[in-house]
Amino acid sequence: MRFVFESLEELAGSRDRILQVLRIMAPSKALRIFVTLNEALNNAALHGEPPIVLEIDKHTRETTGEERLIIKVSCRGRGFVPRLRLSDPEVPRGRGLWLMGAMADRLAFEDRGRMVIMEHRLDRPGRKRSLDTYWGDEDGIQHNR
Amino acid sequence: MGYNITAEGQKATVAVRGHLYVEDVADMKARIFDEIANGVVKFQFDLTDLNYIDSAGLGLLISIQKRVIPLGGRVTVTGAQGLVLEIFELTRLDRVFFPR
Repeated sequence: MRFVFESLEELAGSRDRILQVLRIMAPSKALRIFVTLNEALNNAALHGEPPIVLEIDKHTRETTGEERLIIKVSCRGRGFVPRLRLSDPEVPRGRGLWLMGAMADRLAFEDRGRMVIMEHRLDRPGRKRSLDTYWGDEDGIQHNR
Repeated sequence: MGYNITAEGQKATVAVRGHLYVEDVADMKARIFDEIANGVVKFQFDLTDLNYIDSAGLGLLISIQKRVIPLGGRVTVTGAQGLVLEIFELTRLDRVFFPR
């Protein structure tokens, strides 16, 4: 499934449709997956340049039957270096990446931050993570542990 | 998204419904900052009927908190549940906004 947006307004008008798609593709985790991709889309719409492209694909591993939803969000623009640490409580910004990392099973950035890739395993329930020991380096590519 | 502001003296209750997205934030911030200009400094956000809040919505609460604390006010959040509660907990803002 592929969506293309040219503006925040277009994105705003498509959120219900995206959530509908997720409810079909991943009924048990639709809302949690929505949190992650919505933050990625917001970042692209607010800080990147259009077109903003959202791709949602389900992958099934033949040997194990394990299912994953792979989410890719990309945009144009200068890109950025992801800083995956939780903002101080008095700072209004900087929680979107944190939420993406907390709720996705894998989070990675490519193309100098212009593409974010998230994986959600569908064969296990979403779980809260201990974020105190969550992130390691800040080199722009992060993998959940 | 919808919201109602009920103000009385220095206090106001803000009941938010539905989904609070980034595109909703500017209007809501303007309304609430108007209330602050009118003397309201203690805000209680009732999120009982809120189903989703994005990081921009969280940022709105922090912006209001930053504005009212020097005036002797504060922001509290009640009624958060389900995914909204989890989002507050994951970002540790439950420690900032939830009444103890």
